[in-house]
Amino acid sequence: MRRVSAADVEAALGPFDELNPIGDQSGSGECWVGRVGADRQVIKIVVHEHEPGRFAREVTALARLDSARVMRVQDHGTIAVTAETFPYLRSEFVPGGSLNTHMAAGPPPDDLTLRAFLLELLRGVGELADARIVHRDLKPENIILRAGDWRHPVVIDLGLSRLVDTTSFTVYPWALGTWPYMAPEQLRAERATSLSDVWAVAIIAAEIASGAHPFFRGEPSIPHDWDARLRGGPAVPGARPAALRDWITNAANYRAYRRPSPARSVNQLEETW
Amino acid sequence: MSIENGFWLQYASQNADDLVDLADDLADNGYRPGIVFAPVGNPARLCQLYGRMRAEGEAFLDPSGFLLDRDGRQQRATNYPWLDPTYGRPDDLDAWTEWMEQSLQHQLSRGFRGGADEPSILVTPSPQLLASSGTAELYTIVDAASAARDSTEGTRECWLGIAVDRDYLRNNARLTELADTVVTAGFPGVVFRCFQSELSPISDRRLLEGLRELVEGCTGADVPIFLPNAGWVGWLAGAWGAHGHSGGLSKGSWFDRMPTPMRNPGRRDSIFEPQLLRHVHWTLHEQLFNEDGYEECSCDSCVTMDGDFDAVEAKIHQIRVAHARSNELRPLNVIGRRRAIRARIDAAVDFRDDLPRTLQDRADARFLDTWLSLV
Repeated sequence: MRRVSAADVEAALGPFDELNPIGDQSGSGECWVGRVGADRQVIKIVVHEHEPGRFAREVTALARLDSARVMRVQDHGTIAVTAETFPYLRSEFVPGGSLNTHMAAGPPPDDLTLRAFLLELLRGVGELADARIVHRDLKPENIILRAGDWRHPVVIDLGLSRLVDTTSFTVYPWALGTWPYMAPEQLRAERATSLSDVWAVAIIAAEIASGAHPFFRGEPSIPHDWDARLRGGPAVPGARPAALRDWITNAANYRAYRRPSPARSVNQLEETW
Repeated sequence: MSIENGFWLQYASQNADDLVDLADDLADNGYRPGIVFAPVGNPARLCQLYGRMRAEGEAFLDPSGFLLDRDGRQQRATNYPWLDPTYGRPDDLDAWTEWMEQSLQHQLSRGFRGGADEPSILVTPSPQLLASSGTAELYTIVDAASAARDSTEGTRECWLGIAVDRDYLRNNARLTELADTVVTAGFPGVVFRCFQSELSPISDRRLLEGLRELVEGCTGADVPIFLPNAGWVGWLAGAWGAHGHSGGLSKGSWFDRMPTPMRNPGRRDSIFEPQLLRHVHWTLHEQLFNEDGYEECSCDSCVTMDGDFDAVEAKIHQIRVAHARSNELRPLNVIGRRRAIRARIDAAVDFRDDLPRTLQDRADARFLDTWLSLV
């Protein structure tokens, strides 16, 4: 049951030619895709905000970002629904399909394409880090390949579900079903940092490179031995370039502070691969 | 932009007037060390010394926020408002932010610097964080530091100040959270203190291993880490990539130690023995002097003493040695520094092991084995 109706959205943001609900309701946010003429936009509404200060800070920072690698925020504010007020974020709609769709459709990208994809994704994560934004929920569903091109990944779904993470979410981090790409510190209910995003990129890269998640095999819930699995480090097939394997090993270091920053990752990959 | 790496002079209320002249003197034999000032003593004298120092070299104020958690003196309330013991300990993000803003504004104020340039860096104050209290306060302090930094006008870099108890470094879970937080906090550098209970030299292996992990983590992430009052542990940490450390003319400025009773009060006639990397009693120094393999120190202070103990010259001798060691390391990269420091410790172990058993026992330099294993 949605807490915000199409009428509420239009009352706050003006009329749309089309306005349709999309995506899963994570428990913290609700999403809509609207169209005005040829312009399509995504509206995300935070209906359970546990840390208002952080939402405001990060959305303000995100709105200042103007990058082809990160979804562009068009505006943000609040929507009043009866006696309540919810923050919202309006962003561009990026066509091209999510990374998980492309991974499932195959074939996997060749080494050169994977290199281009990874560098662009890391540059996007670096831009977020520079703006002091932590995504906290990077996963294939949250990356769009612009126009279906592996060389142009776009990070989406910022400023919503994971901006509310420090109370109930971090106590039960796997409750929302996104644990397979979460860094150990997130699964330990500690604060996520930009290096948690680097971990997620490493896991995504390992999965693309090998065709399988490096730690999990589709378990419905987080396995009891998750900590031991993550401490063991990811495996990447020897058929992929050594530079990629080396970077994944570093970037998926169990200890966050030992992982390379996004900028250092880009440098390392450009120099060695 | 960053601050000079290597050894810095540490300001304390004792012998403070001599520090600037000492910096001038040291500059004749290498680089000019900066001075880490502290909010203690007479503020007018501090302001005057800062002005003299800043005219020639680098200096900053370590706001020493941990003093909030110690017995306060009324003078702090008047001159250093963030250390006012009647202020009350902040208990939420906004209150901590305001507390830090007071300190940053003081560092930029005419009351601190007179007409001199702004400090080489600003430093956010940190209370003493206790591992037993969990990491919520660590997160709050770092968030408050970010907010205070963002709201403070100034042309200088602002580094993150962090002060912890020793369990933060000895407990793997706390250490990981600390390192993760410090490395990703988004500050251009960190001024870090860890309080412990040991007199120098520190031989607590778990504490040193934790410090190594933190320093290497910061260095690997290109976040310079400075260790005020760390003395020779600061020099050791240079092997792991520490940017700098400080020590001064006050005995307490060589090791961050919890305010506990001294185990050997009254033994003032000691001198730093470069070949053992520790202080020894003057009578033992005289015995070592006659041993094979002993290398006589040729620093100006030792020349001045000429075999007769002098308390002030003995203090300056230690500073001259620290400065000389830093001069050796400054041109080297991290790998080169590690090799050079290891070579120094190796030589100290050899010297110790060649001593007669009775002198070995008296010198008590077993800590060298721990240090050697860590570099």
